[in-house]
Amino acid sequence: MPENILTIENLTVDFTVRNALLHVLRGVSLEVIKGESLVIVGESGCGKSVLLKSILGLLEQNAKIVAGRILYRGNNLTSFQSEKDYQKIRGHEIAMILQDPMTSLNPLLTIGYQIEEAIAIHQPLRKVKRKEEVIRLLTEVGMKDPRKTRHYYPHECSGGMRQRVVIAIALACKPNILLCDEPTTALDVTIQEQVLNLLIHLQHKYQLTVVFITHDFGVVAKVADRVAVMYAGEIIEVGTSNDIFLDARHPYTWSLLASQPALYVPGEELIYLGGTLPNPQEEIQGDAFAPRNPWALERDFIYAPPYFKLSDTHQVKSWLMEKRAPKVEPPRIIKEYYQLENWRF
Amino acid sequence: MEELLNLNSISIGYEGKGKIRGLNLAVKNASFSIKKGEIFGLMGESGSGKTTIGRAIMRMIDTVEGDITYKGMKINQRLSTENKRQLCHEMQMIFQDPMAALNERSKVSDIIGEGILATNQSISKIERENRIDKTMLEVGLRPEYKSRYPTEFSGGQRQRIGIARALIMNPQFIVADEPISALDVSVRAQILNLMKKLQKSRGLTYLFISHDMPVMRYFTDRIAVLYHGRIVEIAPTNELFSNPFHPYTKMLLSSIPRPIPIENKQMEERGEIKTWQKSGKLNSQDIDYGVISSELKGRETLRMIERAPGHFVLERIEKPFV
Repeated sequence: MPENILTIENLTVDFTVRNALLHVLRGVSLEVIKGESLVIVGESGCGKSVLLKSILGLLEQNAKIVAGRILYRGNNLTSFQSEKDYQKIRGHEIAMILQDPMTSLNPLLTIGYQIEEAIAIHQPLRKVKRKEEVIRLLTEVGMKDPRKTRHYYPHECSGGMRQRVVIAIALACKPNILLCDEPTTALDVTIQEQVLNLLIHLQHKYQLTVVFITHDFGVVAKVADRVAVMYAGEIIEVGTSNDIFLDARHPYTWSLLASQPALYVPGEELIYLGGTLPNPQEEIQGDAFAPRNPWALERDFIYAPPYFKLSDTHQVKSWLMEKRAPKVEPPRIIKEYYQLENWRF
Repeated sequence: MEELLNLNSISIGYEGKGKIRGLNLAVKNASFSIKKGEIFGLMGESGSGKTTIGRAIMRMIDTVEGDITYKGMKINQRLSTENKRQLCHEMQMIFQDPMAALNERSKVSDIIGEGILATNQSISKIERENRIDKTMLEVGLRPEYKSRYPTEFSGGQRQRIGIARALIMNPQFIVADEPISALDVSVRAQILNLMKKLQKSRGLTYLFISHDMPVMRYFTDRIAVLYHGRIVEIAPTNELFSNPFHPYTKMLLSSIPRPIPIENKQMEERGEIKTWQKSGKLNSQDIDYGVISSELKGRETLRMIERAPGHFVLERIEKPFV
């Protein structure tokens, strides 16, 4: 029986910007199973990063958790009042890796010092032991010649090396959950492959639970056990990797899948989704995706759809799953690419 | 097809300070030609010199040696005002980051109209406004928006402004430097469709610079692969993806994560995923691929060899005794 390590229930987050209230997360419910890698995909601005930040209490001053619970090992993280409470969780239990390694490293300190700092906070070790631990961690993340490289400053490292250092810092605290906010978007493909392989390898070795944000379906396919698709502050489809790639049901998931040029024969016109995300200031009547949805039903504009459970793992938030709804087919290009096993490229 | 642009053993360098004092060559001995009406891709990792080549073609940086010829005219030298003006009309550039490339303090109509205002003063104000409206419509922006400022637009719309600014000059050749990598997934497809449509309707020629290989495969006709400032392989797109010769190209193509879940998982099970650890290589920058140091060994030299029709590969060959 898979055990949930993290449960997010109806999480609602509002931002106050210049006296206007922005509804950024509008009731996110998500379960993270122990030992899995869960990938969250969606357009920029749909609330992916805010979701991860609210888990660790890293939201900006103007953000407020209005409703909902985040349960981790019997603790409700949203009820934490002081920084001190969060400090028990951060790093030690749940660690985070950000997109741009340059912003998470201190440019004035050597990378060895920064890793040692993380060890010193979380483990009572003698100085010599700490040095050994630093070298062990650097070797673990695939740094060449760690005895020398630990004296490097961040600017002396390439982008891939920096991201390895950030991973080493995250590992230093021996976390249970690793949150990764687009860790490879700033990297080249070849380096991206190495960093992803490293993450997969470390996940198996330390039995980490990984929550991963990306918008590259190539990356999703590589790392995901389960995928959650987000739109306008809601999870609209969640399922295993195979559910999402081979049997996606939500029109928004279709449009994300169909927007990859890898699926097309050169010269074919790309299918894309018109329109923009709804204004987060406005209250949304019905389904948030309805105005952009070519298959929208009348009822989509009036009532918000519930989650329809298609299988134990696969849930979709769309009225199209209702018994009385008309049958709709995914775009031809997705069917051709995934269902006929006609894989180009 | 007629040749539009030709690069003949171009080297481009930057002056360094401190440890890297002196001339640092960012591009070494690059030669290729672009035919009229084709989409030519420059592919490579960051730091490989893609943007440097694009900028040298646009005369934004100087070359160290070699010739760049556009329609038979050598352009990497001092030109007469008249010739410069002609190039201004015929060659335009689209930039990577639409947030950074547009002046936040000028109106959209001023941004788009600046090119004709600067190069052709004889055009009347009304005619200029008409041309701005026409171009905005062509790239899918509503002319009503022309008195707005760039901050009021989304990323995709801003990139359309960037494209309109280039198009209004009626160019024949456009250098597109990573035009979609700063955009969101759903917007990328729109901009690619737009660029393809414009290429067909106006008979444009593109130099398309990108590191995104699926986009390259979909969008370009021919591709040159750059590694450490050298072109290691030039081939028609289909040929390159189906039959890469150079070890670096092979490595690059194999590192693309494919959007297919089952296959990747199978690879994992077979243990192929851990090969990088056995090789002990930190990152690709450390691998020579016969490109970085080979010329120093004296007896050898690098040449582009035609391995298949139109498919050129950089290879190391021994110099004959002289």
